[in-house]
Amino acid sequence: METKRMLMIAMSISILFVQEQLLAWIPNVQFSVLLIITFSAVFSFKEMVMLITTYVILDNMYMGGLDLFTMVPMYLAWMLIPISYHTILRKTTNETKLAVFAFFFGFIYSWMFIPFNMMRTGIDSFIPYLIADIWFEVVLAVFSSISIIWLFRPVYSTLCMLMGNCSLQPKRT
Amino acid sequence: MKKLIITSILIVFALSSFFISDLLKQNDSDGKITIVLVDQIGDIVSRESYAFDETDTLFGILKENYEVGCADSSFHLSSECQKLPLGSRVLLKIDNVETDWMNTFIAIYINDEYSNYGIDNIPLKNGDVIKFEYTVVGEGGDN
Repeated sequence: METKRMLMIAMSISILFVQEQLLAWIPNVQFSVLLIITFSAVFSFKEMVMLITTYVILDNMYMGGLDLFTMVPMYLAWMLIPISYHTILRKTTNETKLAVFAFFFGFIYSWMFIPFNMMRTGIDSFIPYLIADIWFEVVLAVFSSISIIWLFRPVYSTLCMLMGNCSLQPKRT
Repeated sequence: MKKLIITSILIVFALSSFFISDLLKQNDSDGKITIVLVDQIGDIVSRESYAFDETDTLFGILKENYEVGCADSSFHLSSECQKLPLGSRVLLKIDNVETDWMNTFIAIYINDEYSNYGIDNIPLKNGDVIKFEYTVVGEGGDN
């Protein structure tokens, strides 16, 4: 891997981590979905595996003492973005399609934690978890979609310019 | 223009969700609830009834009648119990029933059903029996 790409991945992880910490006081309002979708459009799948693995370890070291019941669902949920981007989304750079994906991802991200919390607490009723989290899911889904609609193109174009490996004007597929 | 329309639809969706959520959290106009407190060995340490009206909250009634502690942002016990902008405070302590969140927590049951909501989102309904039970992580749901 080129040194420049490695540095770009390291910088991307830093940006992802810092923005999350800066916005931690507002529940579920963050640019993580926008950033990970944009990174998926710029980096290869292998690079995204590295980026997300490092980000999840760093985030959990700082926030939660490497609790596996948090780390595993978080890792699986974030990995859904590059997996979906390279499969069902067919590497699209169309903001509307990505915003629709981000909207549903807001809910799926939170649902990922439910089975792990059920195992952790021993409370095996699904509904309380679903209801307790629903408003946080709405916030994540709506904020992620709006941020994609307005910010995907400028962030993607800036990254492309820095990386020099993709079109400055995202192709609408 | 398309961006503005999509943004407006999303904002309307979010606002109507919060509006519906607020409607579902309405108290009865007045009534009486019973609060039951269960300690670590499963004994009922307190069972008291309290009158309420539509402006009361479950947390307010607890705070008025018991010594309560909540989780701070790092999930450590704190007596401050500040209201959160979204969601609900996490109760860690009621009188001598004290939990640490990582290994033990206070489970809330309403009329013997595990509560679907946190302490700040439970509407007060006349005749409800609200039980706060010391629970070991991984051993919940045995109610």
